[in-house]
Amino acid sequence: MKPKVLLVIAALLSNPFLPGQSVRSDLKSGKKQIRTLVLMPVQVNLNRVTLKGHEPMVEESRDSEVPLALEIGAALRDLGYELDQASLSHQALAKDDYVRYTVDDMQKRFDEELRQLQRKSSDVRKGRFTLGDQVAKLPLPDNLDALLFVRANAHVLTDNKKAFGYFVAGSVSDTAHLDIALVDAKTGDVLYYARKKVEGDLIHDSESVASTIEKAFSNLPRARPASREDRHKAQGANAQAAVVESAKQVETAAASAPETIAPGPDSHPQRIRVSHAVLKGMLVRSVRPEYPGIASANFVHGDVVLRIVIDTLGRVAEVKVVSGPPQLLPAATSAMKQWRYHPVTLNGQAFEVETEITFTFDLQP
Amino acid sequence: MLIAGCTVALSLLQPSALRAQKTNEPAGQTGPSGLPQNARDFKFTKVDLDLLRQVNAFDKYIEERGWVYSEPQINQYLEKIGLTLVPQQTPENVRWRFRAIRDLEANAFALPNGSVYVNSGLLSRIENEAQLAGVMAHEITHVVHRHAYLEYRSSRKKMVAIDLILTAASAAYYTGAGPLVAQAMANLLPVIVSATVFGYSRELEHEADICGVEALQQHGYDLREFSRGFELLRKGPEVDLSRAPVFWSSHPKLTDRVGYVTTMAEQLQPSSAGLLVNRSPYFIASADVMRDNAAQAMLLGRPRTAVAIALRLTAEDPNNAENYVLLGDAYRSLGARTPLPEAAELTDEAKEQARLRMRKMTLAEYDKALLEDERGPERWEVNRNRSQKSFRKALEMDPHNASAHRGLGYLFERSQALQESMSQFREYLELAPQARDARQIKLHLESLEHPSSGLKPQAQKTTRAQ
Repeated sequence: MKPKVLLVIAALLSNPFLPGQSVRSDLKSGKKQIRTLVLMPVQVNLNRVTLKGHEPMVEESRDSEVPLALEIGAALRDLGYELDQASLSHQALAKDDYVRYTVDDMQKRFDEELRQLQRKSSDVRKGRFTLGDQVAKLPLPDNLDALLFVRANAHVLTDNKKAFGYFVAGSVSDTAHLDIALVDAKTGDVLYYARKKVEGDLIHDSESVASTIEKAFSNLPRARPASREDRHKAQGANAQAAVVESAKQVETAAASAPETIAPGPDSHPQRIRVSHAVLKGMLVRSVRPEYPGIASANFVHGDVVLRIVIDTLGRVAEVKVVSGPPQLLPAATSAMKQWRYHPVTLNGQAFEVETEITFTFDLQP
Repeated sequence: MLIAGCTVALSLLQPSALRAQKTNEPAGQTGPSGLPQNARDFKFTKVDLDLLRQVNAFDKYIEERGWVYSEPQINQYLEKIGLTLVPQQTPENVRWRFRAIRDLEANAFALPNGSVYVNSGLLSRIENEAQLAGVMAHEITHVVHRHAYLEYRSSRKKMVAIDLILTAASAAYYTGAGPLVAQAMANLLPVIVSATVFGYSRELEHEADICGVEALQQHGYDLREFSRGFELLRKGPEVDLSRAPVFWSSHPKLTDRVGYVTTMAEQLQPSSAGLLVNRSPYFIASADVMRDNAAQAMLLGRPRTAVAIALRLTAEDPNNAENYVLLGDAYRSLGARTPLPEAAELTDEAKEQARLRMRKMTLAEYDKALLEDERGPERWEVNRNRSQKSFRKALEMDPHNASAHRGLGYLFERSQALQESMSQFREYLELAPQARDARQIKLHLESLEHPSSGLKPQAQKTTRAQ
């Protein structure tokens, strides 16, 4: 009897429809379909918890926003969604007060709704939550289907606090939560909402952030494929939607440097650490490393892990060895240097990114 | 130069107030540099520089969020007043900046790096330049006298303050629209929030008030306005559901402060003849901010605030049709509320009930619940008539006023008069095809024109597009 009960509990716990991520019924059934999204500026609040109390982490919070947005963008591209990078770009916000204030209004309005979303997220299915059709005040192209709101909150415990937590009461580990909501760009209705605990370090562990995001989107249906009509609309109707990228387009496009991408507000590009998922689909050219003759003769095989930096033009600017058999390193690094990516951009701003890549040298063909 | 001579007033009125100060030297005494003793003697330690780095980052953070108004009109006005109130010599690591910030709370705060922010909520509440100057002089004193650093150095206080903030933040959470800037600050800059939310220590607040009064006196501002400003900030049009005191309006011992400021005013300015109040320049400079604040208040579930602002705008500038449109919009969004809280809403029991509802309902659901209350329909009827009257008045003044048609469109829609509603929206689009919200209205109109079964009006457009 007991094992059965446990099984039921286990089944309930693993049920993806339990609070965690909720899809509006019409989106789930396919009656409503979305394809093009715009990412509202991501908001991160980090706090350091010490024995003395909470300490702010203003700079860390700001610095975490871009990598988080890039990871989310990559996950959405992976699901077939297109991201509008122009409508709410830095430049668009900087030059137009109306856009900036309206974005601010919608963020605040979202935070209002978020309180109830967190309380009873399953009601998303019924279509209970909406920001109202005021979202249509945002100057967005007509083919844009949805807005994505992201909030991340984390408490980072210092070692002392953790030790204190072990011996006395209190939490002993960092806690970080991610709230993600997809909102209809015309009606303001909340179509999808997920709240996920980040397993790992929100600031430094880009891989665990990426896997949290993947889990957060696990109930989101794949995007409908673009119809010819959509493409026509996207090209003709609105010049604002110029920089709409999809994974497919990126893979097939030539490695031309897009003129629409600005170097960002500072002349020195910001370097950010991202998971490898961000570069998925961004590859323009890859070169297979040649298996060194001596290495294969001596049956040397294994993984070479490289830490690479990709500059704002998509070139591999730095290659550092993390681990791997010494005989295989020269081949891996020299191949890596010839790789070429599309520039990693967020809302029209290009970034220098740092990530890890693994080459597997296997003697079996 | 101006934050000078606070000592005289201090010893005159509150001789005990600064006894707690470590030095025996009066804090406000001005040296030849124009700075008070405690500002001249202030030596930056590592802890202070750490706070400075944090506030500089915070400045950047709120700019990036789009919270700071970029309209030159209001910021230039704030700067003009602010710069006349600051001491001649700028203290080390201070760069004076005076800006208005988009936030509904009636609050103002100063960062120790010299950034003084005045919330749109406060600008919408106070009435004239003398009151504004009072708030700003007070905040400037916190900067000049290094109050934030002094508080930050005391880590014991820091911890207590943070616990208090968390209590306040969760209390404020249920008052309808949360104090968003403050919430973000509570996360990011607890110390500054503790100071702006709960005030600095009583001595420091007192010092800031006294020096503020001095500065106002030197510029010939009417000091009675300073204490009147306190009163205005205390009494807002919304029901205060927070359990803990929040913000400028509730700095500790506000009644004491009104008391001693009034006493000082009577002693320093026996007659108010010829004193500066500057109602009209204040109004001209802040009218746009007030309108924007009213629109935000409607969006975030505080329609009473919007009505109060719109009533002020129509009273100050009765020849502006846009003000009547705003009033019409505000009355419409008031729904089944009365413009000001009724006595029955202010009982502890009623507040508890309202908190409970707000905890469980979205803004839209709360509005609906009010309408279903016993007196709901009757109140809505009153507001509907007021709203319609305001829009009609705007159209009388300016027959081509587009936004009045938009307002009527929404109003008729709420009363199920769909044909009339649609024709009003069409009229709007015809008169203002280039309006920034034309797309929103167009989509809205389409949803009314093509209602289909089982779907909310707004949801159709997307469904049809498939």
